[in-house]
Amino acid sequence: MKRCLAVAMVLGVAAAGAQEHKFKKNYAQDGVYWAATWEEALAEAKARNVPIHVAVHKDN
Amino acid sequence: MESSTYTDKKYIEASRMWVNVACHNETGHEVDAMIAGKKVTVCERYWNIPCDAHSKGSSAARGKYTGITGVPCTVYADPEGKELSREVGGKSASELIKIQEKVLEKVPGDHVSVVEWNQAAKLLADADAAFEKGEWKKAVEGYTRVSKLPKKVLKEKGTAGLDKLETKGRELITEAKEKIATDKEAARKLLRKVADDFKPLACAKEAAAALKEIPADEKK
Repeated sequence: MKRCLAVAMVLGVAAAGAQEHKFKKNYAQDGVYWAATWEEALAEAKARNVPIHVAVHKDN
Repeated sequence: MESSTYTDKKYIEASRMWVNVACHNETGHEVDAMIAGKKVTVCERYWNIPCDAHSKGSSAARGKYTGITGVPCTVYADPEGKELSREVGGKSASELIKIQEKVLEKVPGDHVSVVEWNQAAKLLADADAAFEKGEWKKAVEGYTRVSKLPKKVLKEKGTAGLDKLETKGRELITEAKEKIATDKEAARKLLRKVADDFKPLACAKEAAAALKEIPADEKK
C-alpha cells in the first residue's frame, strides 16, 4: 500500500511539474501590472507612495 | 471586469499610478505566452501573474479586509494597506478611473508611477551589476541617470549609488597611495583609472591631484 502511494505521489508530482498549458499566440504585450504577492504590493506601495487597488473577484 | 475593464487601454494607463492586487481564488486560467520576448506562464485574466498569485492574493485580502460579502468588490487602501474605501459591483473602466483618481488625491505627496519605478529599478540593477564588476564608468552613468529622474524618492536612490561610488573611489585612491613607495607605476595606473572612470565625481578630481603629487622617477 505504502509503495503504491509513493508511486502515485511521484507520478502526481511529475505530472504537475510537466504541466503544459495552451500556448496563446498574440498575447497582449501590455496590461495592468498585478502584484505577485500581498507583501510585495505593500512594500511597493510604500516605496512609490501610491494607493493599493484590491480587486476581489470570484470566491467560493 | 477581467475581460473588459482591465484590458481597456485608458484603464491600463491609469492603473500605473496604483499597486494592483488581484484576489480570485479560482485557478485554471493559465496559458503559456510570450511577453517581451520571454516565455511565461500567466493567467489569461490577470495579464502578468500566474493563477497561484491571484489565488494567494485572495487569502491575503480576505484576512485583511473583512466583511466582503459580494463580488466583484474593489477595496482601496493607502500605501500602508489601511482601507480608504470600497466599491461593490462591477464597474466600467471610466467609472473606476474616476473613483481611483479621487482615492489617489487622499494620498498626499509625490506619487511614483509603475513605469517610472520599473525604469529606475532597471537602471539601478544595471548600475549595481556594473559596480560589482568594477565597471565604474557604467556605474557612474547609471546612478547619474537615476539621480536626474524627476521624482525625489528615485533621485535619492541614484544619489545613494553615487555616494557608494565616491566611497569606492576614495578606497582606490588610498590603495594607490600605499603603492607609491613600492610601485610608482602601479600607483599611477590606478589613480589614472579613478581619475578617468569616476568622472565627474569628486574622487576623480582627488585622484587627478594625487597623480600629480607622485614624485618623478629618478633618472638612471
